[in-house]
Amino acid sequence: MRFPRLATLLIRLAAYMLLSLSFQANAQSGSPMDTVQTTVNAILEILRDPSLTEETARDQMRVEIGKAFDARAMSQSVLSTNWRQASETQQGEFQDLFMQTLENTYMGRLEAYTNETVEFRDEDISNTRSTVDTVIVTANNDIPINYKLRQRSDGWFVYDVEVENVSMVSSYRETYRSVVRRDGMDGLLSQMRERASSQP
Amino acid sequence: MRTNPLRPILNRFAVLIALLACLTSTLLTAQEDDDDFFIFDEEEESSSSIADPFEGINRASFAFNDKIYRGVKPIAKGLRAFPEPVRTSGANFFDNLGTPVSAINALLQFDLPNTGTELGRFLINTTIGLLGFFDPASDLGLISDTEDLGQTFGRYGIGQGFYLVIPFMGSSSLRDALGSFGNNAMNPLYWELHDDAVYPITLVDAEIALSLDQDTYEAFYDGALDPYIFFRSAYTQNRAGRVEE
Repeated sequence: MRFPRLATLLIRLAAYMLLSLSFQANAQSGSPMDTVQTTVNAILEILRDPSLTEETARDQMRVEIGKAFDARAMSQSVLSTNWRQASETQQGEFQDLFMQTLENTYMGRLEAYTNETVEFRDEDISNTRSTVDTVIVTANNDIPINYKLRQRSDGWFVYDVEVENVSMVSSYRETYRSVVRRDGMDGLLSQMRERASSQP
Repeated sequence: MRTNPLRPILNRFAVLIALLACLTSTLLTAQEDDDDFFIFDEEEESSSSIADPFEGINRASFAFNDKIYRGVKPIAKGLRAFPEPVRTSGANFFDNLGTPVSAINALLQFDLPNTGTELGRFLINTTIGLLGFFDPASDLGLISDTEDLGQTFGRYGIGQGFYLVIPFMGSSSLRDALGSFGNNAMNPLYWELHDDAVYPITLVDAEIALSLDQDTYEAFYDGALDPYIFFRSAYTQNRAGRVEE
């Protein structure tokens, strides 16, 4: 349990002001931090809006994720060598199904922490890659969430999310690889289809 | 910054790593919008995979633990009737009991700043924090960064060995399982208490932690086609990250 102190409050306020300043500064150049901040804030705003039905909220969040996440890069990275062997139809279907899985899990996680503060801490750019560090601050512990982004000609896009050092892409890659080895690409797709229809 | 005993070894490979990095970045800039994006990630695999020679037994333990988890989860949900600050205080109390062992491990890792932080946290929270139920140390800027013997071994360059799922305990590895024996042995409380006291205390600790957690396990279990592999990968990555930090 933490005692709310004037000092910490002031520091937070200062940090917030700095953040919003940098946010404005970044808005034009379209930095990785900007992509992450815009998306996370938009999703939190949707989650905190009591007037939205669950369905419209989900739809709106899906739009936000679609704007910031590089679905194709993620799907390639997740399927790894299996991507090359897959047909174009399979690739397309995988991409849709994987984004659906990710939306469910990722949005579910943000939903669980709707009332906590998200701090946008650090942005590290090297060449066309970047990592943006954020932390969900809760009463009893801090949950680090890092976003990995890549630069395309049209801006910065998220291709991986790391929660407490655990990369979504790596975890799903291992899981899907073992499923493909056992049941083939069609087996993977039918299992994902089944899962998607059981979870709205 | 922390002293890293692995530094000399890393330096030896620095040229190789730099070369690889150059090579991949030229590949990447050349084909940025191309289909070969995933090539980049192939080399990152090592941090997320682990040998698993006992997969059959591990899968059985995983299924068993899943039953146990779902069996005890309702108690944690019941605990949510208590206001969050009360449960957080309970969690703080247990965290504080483990802080001296964390400090010893920080010392074994030659991490003097963190040793100081953990010791300071213990002294402040045990006294001003009323036996650890409150965490005034965090307000003073002493942020908890717990270290265990498994991490210490990792810091010394010892790998995970292979994956293990231990009944009632969950994901582990040869290294981390040996580490947790040693970790318990370092704790004077563990020697003072009889087994019949240790188990209920561990259960209470776990239930409080679960009541504060936002159903993380269920979220990822439901999202994964093969939860066993997903959690194995997640465990391996999390531990690798904590050793690196």
